[in-house]
Amino acid sequence: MMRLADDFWRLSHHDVSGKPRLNGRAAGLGLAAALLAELMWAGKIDVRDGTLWVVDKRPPADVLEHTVLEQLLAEPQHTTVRIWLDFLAKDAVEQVAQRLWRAGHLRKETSWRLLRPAGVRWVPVDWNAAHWPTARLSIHLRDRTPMKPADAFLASLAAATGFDEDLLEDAPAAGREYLRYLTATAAPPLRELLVRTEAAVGESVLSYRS
Amino acid sequence: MSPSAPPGRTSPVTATLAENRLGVPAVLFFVLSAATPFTVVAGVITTGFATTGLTGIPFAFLLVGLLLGLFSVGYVSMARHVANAGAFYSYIAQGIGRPAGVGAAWVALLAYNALQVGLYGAIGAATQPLLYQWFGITPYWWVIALVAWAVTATLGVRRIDLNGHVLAVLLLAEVAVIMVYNVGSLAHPADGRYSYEALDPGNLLGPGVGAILILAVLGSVGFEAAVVFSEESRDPRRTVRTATYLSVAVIAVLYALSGWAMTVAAGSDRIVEVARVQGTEVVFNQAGAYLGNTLVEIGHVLFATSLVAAMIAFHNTTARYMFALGRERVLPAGFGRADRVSGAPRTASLWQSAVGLTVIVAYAVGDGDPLIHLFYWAGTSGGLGVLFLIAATSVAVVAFFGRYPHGESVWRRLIAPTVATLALTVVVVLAVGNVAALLGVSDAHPIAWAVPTGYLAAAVGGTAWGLILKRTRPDVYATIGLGARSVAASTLYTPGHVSAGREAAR
Repeated sequence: MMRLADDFWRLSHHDVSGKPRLNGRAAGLGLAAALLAELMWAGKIDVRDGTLWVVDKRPPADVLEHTVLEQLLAEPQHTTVRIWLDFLAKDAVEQVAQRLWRAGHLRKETSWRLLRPAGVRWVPVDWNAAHWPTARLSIHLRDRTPMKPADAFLASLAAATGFDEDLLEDAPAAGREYLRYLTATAAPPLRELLVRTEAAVGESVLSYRS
Repeated sequence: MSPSAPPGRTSPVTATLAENRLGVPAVLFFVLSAATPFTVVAGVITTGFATTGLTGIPFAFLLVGLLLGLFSVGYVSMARHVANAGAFYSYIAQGIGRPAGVGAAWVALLAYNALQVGLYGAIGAATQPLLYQWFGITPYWWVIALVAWAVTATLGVRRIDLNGHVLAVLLLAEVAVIMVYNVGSLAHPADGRYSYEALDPGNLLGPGVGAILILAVLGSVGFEAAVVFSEESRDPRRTVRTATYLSVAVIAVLYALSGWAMTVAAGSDRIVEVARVQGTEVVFNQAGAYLGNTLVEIGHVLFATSLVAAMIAFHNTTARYMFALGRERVLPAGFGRADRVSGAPRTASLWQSAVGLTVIVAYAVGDGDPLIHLFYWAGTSGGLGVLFLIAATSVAVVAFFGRYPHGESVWRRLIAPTVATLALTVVVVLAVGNVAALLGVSDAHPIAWAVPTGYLAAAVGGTAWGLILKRTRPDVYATIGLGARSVAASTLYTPGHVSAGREAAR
């Protein structure tokens, strides 16, 4: 089973403290794209020309994937990739964190300020495991070694959401070129998901208001 | 018909996406907060009287308001059919052609930069009276400007926009205090009689009419922003349209009234002289004579906050322009990178700050006059650039609907845009002929021809760059004007795909 969103959550959060390394909107959109990609990998949905549709209604084994598929089935009137990215992005950070927690990879840590609880943060149980996706992708990008489609998608998604610099520390120029190649050669539905995500992240920068 | 959610239950997707939808008041406040009225009333109108020596500025606001209202008919209609609706160059790229769009983008960068940087020249004059009154100090203007610059630069990179509620409160306070000032001035006409000279349409026939029209355009900058919300407003057909018309009307009436009140209190034959001596203090001195010191102090504070709010608003507008151009690869791709943690358009913001710092230091070292030679010259030059952009956009609206009527009515897609284009063309011709009068210099002064020539160079250079892109980077060329969506269009569709923009916009 392909847990792309788990790895993207780990990529976009600090491996020891669990603090976000990416702004909330971009992280949400990236995780939304990763969840949709999981459903694609499982053969549940397909994407073309900005439109998304369900091809297999049978529930996936994973609870979160099941929930997302149920939402897609419940509202067939919404067909554009963009609307689903926007919708799923709202809760994706929390939803994926809870899946990681259920699997024992994260724990809840309540931070205290002046004897009052100030908030709950998700903290990785094992920082080695939390760091593994970052290490794996960095090495691949540095050495320009062939990547599994899932890893190529994750690296491209990091670029689409704007934190590929973190993965390219060792060899920025060559690595960026390799990333462009990976995005360009991704399977068409995945590539579509990637560029829709990048466009949505860009628009969130342009239409930002407080 | 597509199936819908089961009856009796609200669709979660629709409900979630609707949470962020804006109504007319929200959009109107957003637009007017960026218009920052005290900056215009105390800064632009007073220095305008002093520099041009013309008293018809209040009438020009009414006329330009009508014209911009007419322009907005087609402008708002087209906003729903184009990607990246927040930027004039997108309209021009999608209506006239992509090379012209790049030319317009370069003009826009120049104009918005001038508008933003010019504000640093007024913050000294605005805060010195307060600093003297409160602390007994009179710092150099550039010290104050550098503090304001540091605040703007920091907020820009950290993506802390001033909170919408704070801006709304400031806006309401500004409008309220300006109206109280106006009542005070109108209750005390000079020599006991009212002069309507400032509102006389005969001003149109006088010399320098182009100059006062540019000033009015400068005061109205910001009205164009409502279309940014074309896709996130509650009723896409009405919200943005209503908010745009209302903001144009509020701006025109408020500034015409304030300018007229100034001439009534000072005497229309003396206002130019008064403005030359008192500068930005005209309104405060008039208020002080009738309303007492507390209201003057409140006004001073609001003038300062208004300038800072304007600096931040224009800083962010300019940075987003550069970000969108970076996403399109029209500027180097680095401009299209956002800060990982804050999501701010980091590279663009830093560049904008660098330009601001350079200009402040240059004026400080060169001992230039901050109010006239920086605030007023840069501001009015920026206003002229925005006028060029509005006129070109109006042409783009006519051309766009000529090709794709999109089911809009004849009034919205043809009559109003055509009349607006003709009228704007006249205004542009008058404006270009009156740049020297606008800046208060002789026709032979280098600045009088440098400003229009600079815009011409930007337009020609940008258009040439667009044509070069067409030959060398067809993938980049195909997505000019699409803003953040250009990535979807360039990657998913073959170059030159006619409807790449609309496909990507889905």
